[in-house]
Amino acid sequence: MFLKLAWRSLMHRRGSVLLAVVSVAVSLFVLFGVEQIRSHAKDSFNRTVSGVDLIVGARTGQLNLLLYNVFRIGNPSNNISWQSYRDIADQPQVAWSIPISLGDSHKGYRVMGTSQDFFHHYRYGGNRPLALSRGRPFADIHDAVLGAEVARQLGYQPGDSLVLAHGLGSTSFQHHDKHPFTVTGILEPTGTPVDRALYISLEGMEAIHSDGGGQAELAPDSITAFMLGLDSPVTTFQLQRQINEYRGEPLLAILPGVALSQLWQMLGVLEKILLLISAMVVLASLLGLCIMLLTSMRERRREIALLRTVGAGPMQLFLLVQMEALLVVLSGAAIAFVALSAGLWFAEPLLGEGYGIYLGGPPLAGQTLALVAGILAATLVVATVPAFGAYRQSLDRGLQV
Amino acid sequence: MNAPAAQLAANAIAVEQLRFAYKRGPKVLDIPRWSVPRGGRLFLRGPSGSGKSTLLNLLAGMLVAPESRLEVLGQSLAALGGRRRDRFRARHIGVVFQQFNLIPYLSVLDNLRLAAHFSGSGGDVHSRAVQLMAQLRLREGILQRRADALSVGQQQRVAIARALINRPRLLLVDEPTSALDPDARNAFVQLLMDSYGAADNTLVFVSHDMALARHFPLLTDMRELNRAWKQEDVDVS
Repeated sequence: MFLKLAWRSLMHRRGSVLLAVVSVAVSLFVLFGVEQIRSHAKDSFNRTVSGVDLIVGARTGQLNLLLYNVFRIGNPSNNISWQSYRDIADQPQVAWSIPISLGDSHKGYRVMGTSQDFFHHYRYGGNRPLALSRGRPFADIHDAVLGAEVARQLGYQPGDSLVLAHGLGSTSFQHHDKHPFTVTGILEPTGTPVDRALYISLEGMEAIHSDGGGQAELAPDSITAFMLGLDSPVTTFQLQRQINEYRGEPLLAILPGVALSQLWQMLGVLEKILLLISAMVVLASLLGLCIMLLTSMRERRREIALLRTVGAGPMQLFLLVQMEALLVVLSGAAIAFVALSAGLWFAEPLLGEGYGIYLGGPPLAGQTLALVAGILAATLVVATVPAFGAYRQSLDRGLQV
Repeated sequence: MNAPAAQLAANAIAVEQLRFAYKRGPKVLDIPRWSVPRGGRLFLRGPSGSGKSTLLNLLAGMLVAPESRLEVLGQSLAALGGRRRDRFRARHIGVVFQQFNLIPYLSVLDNLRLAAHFSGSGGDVHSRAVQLMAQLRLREGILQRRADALSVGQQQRVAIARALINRPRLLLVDEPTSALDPDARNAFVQLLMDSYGAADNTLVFVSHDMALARHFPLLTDMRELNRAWKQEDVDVS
């Protein structure tokens, strides 16, 4: 009966109540959204690459090198010569190497020229190897392996044929029409940027950029970067120094783990600021709710007097106002949750594409639940002001108003 | 109506040395001794500012006069704590006002349920509500209608139902007919008498419409009862 009274009372003032619900919903949407990004972005970053000891490219910023090689964001600054790659890959400490050649795309997805070693040695999310869900790795010049996301979004099956485009935009005017590729395999989903790229051989990469010619000429002159795995991690710093001091051309070697945590530190500050801002927004909307309830107390004088007459105690009126505040916030939270789920459904591919962030997982993780509990507690505190108003009003005024 | 102290317990309302003043205000009520017998039908008249509303608030336990003796149905209201006083009011005292007797956004039935809820009395509210509707010559279908969709006359009759849902022993009625036309006033009072007819039920009917006084065997004038009125003669309500 009491809950029904609170609900009907809110419905009776549905104009202002609806606005309060919307304001709470918007603020909670922001808060939940930030929390979602916060909790999942870090996971997503850290699981992107694993088991790679060094990433080597032309001399540029540490983060830039990481971003374009691992996250496929931004553009490579310069290529490095094939000769330099061979020199370093043949060092005794090096167990394996993965050459990376970037610069082409297919319908907005980046194409990576590489070798078979990519499938054998690349690791993600706690040392898990890549696996093909269907087909086989590329063997021929015009073979292509697709990331899971690419295959799913574009609807490719092994055996399908596709044409690559020069440059990285989703619309390109320069297509490599003379060199159609055949899909030979599709990778298992990894939840990392690996899903969002196409993989071809270095020879294939070379073929589409040369004017034809024989197989012998397809050895690449240069590549964008390469990844190294070492026999012993102890030698990592030694080799890193060697590479950074390489005489042939200016090179930069980075430790992916160090670069990732550096990147995360930068984002971490931003993330905390975002959380703070969204908490402020929530507080503002709760205060708005408080104002709404406080204003309504004036027009509810008679209602309160009547409730007192039929036997409601001041404490019950206090609780009535508290319950109304809770109902508004819970409705707002429910709307925010639904909106966030829908928003994630839409935004996830965009975030993955644009920033390499994969926001998997349910929107209501443990920490979000704690957040909701905190918000409800804050609601009770804020609603104390109008609720106490009702309490006082009921004591000060008698039957007549 | 003035009774010796020994007889107070036999009365529905018994007052001795009742004095009351609002915060930082002058004394508005000073009644040396007053009582209403159980089953009494009292017409209480008085002009604005004679302390009628304050007296009703005290009788209903909404206001408390700490150093006075005020017993309602044999219970000293000052001796009860706040919560128990509210419960006592919900169970034993029915109140009907001039207007705004119902929560406008609830149905008639929910208004009755609410009154039953706060009294803590369980039981079948619905069948009691149907019975009251019949007594008050209202259609049963009115139970499902929102209170603010009713006419003024209907609202006042539902107000009686709301006041009577917990079978109170004391009914306080404050100017309930002022929004009605003269014919409807007499009908309303008659209806009130009929539906609250049990011999043990005590009724205090406040009005300045002397035409209605003929329905009541007992008559009290606030100007005679309240000494504060005589002393101060100020408008305090």
